Amino acid sequence: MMNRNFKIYLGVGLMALYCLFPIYFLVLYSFEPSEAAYHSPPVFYPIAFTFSNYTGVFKSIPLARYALNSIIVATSATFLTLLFGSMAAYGVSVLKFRGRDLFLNSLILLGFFPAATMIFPIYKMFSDINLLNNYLALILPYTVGGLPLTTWVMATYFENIPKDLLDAASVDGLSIGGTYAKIMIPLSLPALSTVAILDFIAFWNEFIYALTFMPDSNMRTVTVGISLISGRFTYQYPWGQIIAAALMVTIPLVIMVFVAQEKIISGLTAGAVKG
Amino acid sequence: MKKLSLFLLVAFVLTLFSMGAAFAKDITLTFLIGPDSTGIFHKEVALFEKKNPGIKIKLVEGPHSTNDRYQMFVTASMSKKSPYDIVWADIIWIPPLAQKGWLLPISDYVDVNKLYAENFKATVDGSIWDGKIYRVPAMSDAGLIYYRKDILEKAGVKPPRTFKEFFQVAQKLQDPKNGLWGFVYQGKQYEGLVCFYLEWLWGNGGYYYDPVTRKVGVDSPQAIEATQMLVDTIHKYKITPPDVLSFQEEESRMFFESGKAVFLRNWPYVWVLSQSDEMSKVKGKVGVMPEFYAEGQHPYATQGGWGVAISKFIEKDKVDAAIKFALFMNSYEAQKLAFMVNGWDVARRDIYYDPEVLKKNPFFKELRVILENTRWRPATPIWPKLSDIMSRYLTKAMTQQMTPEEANKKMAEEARKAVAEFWNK
Amino acid sequence: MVIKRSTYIKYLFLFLSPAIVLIVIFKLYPLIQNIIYAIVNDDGHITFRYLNDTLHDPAFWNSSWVTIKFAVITVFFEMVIGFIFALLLNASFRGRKIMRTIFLIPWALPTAIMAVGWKFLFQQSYGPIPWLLYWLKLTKSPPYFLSDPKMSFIAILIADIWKTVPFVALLILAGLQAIPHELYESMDIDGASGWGKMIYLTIPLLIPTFIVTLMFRFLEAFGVFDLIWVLTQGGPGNATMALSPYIYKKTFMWMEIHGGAATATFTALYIIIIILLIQYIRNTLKRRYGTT
Repeated sequence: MMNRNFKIYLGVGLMALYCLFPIYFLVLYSFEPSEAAYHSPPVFYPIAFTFSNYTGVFKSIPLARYALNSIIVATSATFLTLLFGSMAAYGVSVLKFRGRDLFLNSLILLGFFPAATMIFPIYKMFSDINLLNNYLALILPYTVGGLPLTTWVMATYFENIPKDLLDAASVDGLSIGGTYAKIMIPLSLPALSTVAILDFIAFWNEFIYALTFMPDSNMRTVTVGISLISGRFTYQYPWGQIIAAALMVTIPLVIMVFVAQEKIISGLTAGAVKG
Repeated sequence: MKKLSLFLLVAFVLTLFSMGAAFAKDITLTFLIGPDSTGIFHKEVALFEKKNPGIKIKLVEGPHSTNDRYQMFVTASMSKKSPYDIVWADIIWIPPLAQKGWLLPISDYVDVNKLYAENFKATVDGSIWDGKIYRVPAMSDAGLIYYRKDILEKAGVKPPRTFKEFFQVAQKLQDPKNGLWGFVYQGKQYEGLVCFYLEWLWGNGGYYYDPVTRKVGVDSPQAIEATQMLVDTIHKYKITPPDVLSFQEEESRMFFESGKAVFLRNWPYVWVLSQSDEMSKVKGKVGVMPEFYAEGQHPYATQGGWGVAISKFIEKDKVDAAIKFALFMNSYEAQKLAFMVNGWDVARRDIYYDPEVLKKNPFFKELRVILENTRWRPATPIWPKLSDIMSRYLTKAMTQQMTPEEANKKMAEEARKAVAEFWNK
Repeated sequence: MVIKRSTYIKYLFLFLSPAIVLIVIFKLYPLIQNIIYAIVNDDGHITFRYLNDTLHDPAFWNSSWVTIKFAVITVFFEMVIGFIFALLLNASFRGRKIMRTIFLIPWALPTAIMAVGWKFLFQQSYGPIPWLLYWLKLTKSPPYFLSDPKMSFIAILIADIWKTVPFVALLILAGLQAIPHELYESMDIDGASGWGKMIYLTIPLLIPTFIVTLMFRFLEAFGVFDLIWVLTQGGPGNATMALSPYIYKKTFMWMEIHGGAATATFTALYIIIIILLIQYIRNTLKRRYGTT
């Protein structure tokens, strides 16, 4: 037993090292003037400690406003993706129909077609119907972007749910819609929350659409907002500030996402068991 | 039901937004700029609005990366309905955007001769495509050489002028074992490397592409020799760390500022920062001079810089206001403000004679001479592609996957193909 | 379930239509637009010139090769490391909650910004990675990661693997959690060893998860963009120029809209081939294990 425990803690230690090694330097550099990072050979402790990068961020960009935009866009898009994706997955794996493989496969083909060539047609569409600078201009494309993964993962998960559960549901007189809402969704919460995390973070980090479809400075998302940090000169790159801003939004984000996940799962599974 | 309500939602939001379209009496111009961290653009606009009641400028700050901003403007223009009336335009954007018909030619509105009289020649030259002017210059920029005055003085050597002198001096003064290299520049595969290489190419009597005759000359012996010299900095004279292949402007500046190089090729912005940065180790130890050149040739600096251009898709009744603003940005007042707030190397020459300016930054006296003698990159709509070809083969030579001769031959071959394809469309 | 056919069709329609409508508008329509750009020139005539040019473009083939190499290598390492991480996170140990949060950080940092960080970490003169390798006596001198075609490629591999392992681990973890405990307990009674459980129970049951993860990671790696655009810009000598940055460059920097569209069309062909390949693997495994 000692041996097994030792192996696990060794593994966990290596995993922590893996995740935090690069982060350590980012944190370090974020507390130094930008020039200090150019120390050769590198040192693994701060040579000149300062908070100026962190305070500088708020002078450069309205970070809170950008974070609010990101939260609105990413939350709405995650919700819609989960809803539409799980519905489609239910159609594919429970209702079943001819051509379901074709449906799933075209979903990925379209989903992974190079984004660079998609920008212009979508931009033109939004520009024609005056949807630029509107949260929907990001929410809708992001939702579509999340659909392939969500649908696939949920379809795989639904297929593994034992058939007798579904049969029992129909004996209980639940309709198709009722089975989806009352049986499948509660049962698949772990999978749903997993894709929710993956989708949410992916939407949060998206850059090109957010840059192109939101030309107004007030509508920037965090990722684009951070790229607006600059120095006095075109070439100058105040990257201590950039890193500080990235850490300031990412680390709370990760903790928030994780706590929310735990809360949702425990809350809903409890409800489902009782009901 | 769900579908229906989604459609209703979309329809609702759409109506809301079309109703919200502003019905203002003032003329409002949107201006696509880079990030305005020091607020210089906001200050200029405030000054302009005070002098021109009835015109409002709405600033749209794009990302730090020039390529990203270019993409924003290109995508918008492709839809033939640009949300940006005016754009802060890089000198190399003018031919491609003008050729596509996305910029408004302003020859009828501005006096080109006056612009030539008041600004550095190359900043105006670079604003012209096919006989028409598309941009009012505001900021100049040119490549130059920074050197460590203290090290040269201690060794009792004069600043080298020719390539030959330079290689000797750099080899003599450097001490890589103790972390002092001879020379750093921008060596990554990108536009910055091309800007630097062109200076050596021109200084060695070669040329890349002549937009008038549409000839490509980069496989000439002078050009191959220029590439050889570039490769030699790393592999023969070993005055440049191989790391230079990952350097852009900032990496090379920091290398120099941390006291690890004797010579640096960079833009004028380095001067201010190297003398003011908290941790700079070269304060008061830096000299500047023009680029190196071959015996019997001249030094050349690649012209960069920014100016104000107007979108072709601007509403007719806004054009006059836009011109007014573009010319304002080139006025003495606006240009001096840009210098005082940001230390910009502006396009107007008379700023460089202003006693107040010279007092604040004596370096501007030397800078003026360099800015008078710049060359702009070949004015052609396919410049982005020609530049890509050049940087790709240069890095192939620098990593010794190709000899300089092979690299330049391939460069010329591909450039000729690109030129032919473009003009025979 | 015994349901009337008309009800069934009504429900099927209801469940699929939101996804289908959105996909038609935001994916199929742009795709068709793109194909039109690839085969119709500015004068409105149909031409195969752009497709043909792409086939004769050495840069396209170079990018194809870079992309395939990149996708195969990164996905392989991500699957292996991700699987190990998922097993660890599924085991019980003190601080598991914290670890489950920490391990998400690489996935959550925006790539475009992290790429700037990597540029630093890899730089020979200042970067901790080359110097650490040197101090640990793994290399004779601090290696130049970003100045050599081969090493630059390795640098982008490392940066991409680092970022995406959490993605893989999280999906596999969800799969692990779906395996009923009773199955392990019954194997405990049979006296199976840890490895036995792994080979005969865990891995076969995870195959559907593996396939979904593999497919998505592979296709995503195929579209790698931000990382390369910021870290190397495709250099040196186009050694790291993958397809997506190449298409982006063609479309927006060179404004060869038709050429970019043609290159993207061929990329779509690659994607179809990958999907067919994975479909084939799925079917083979289905025959062997009886699961999807």
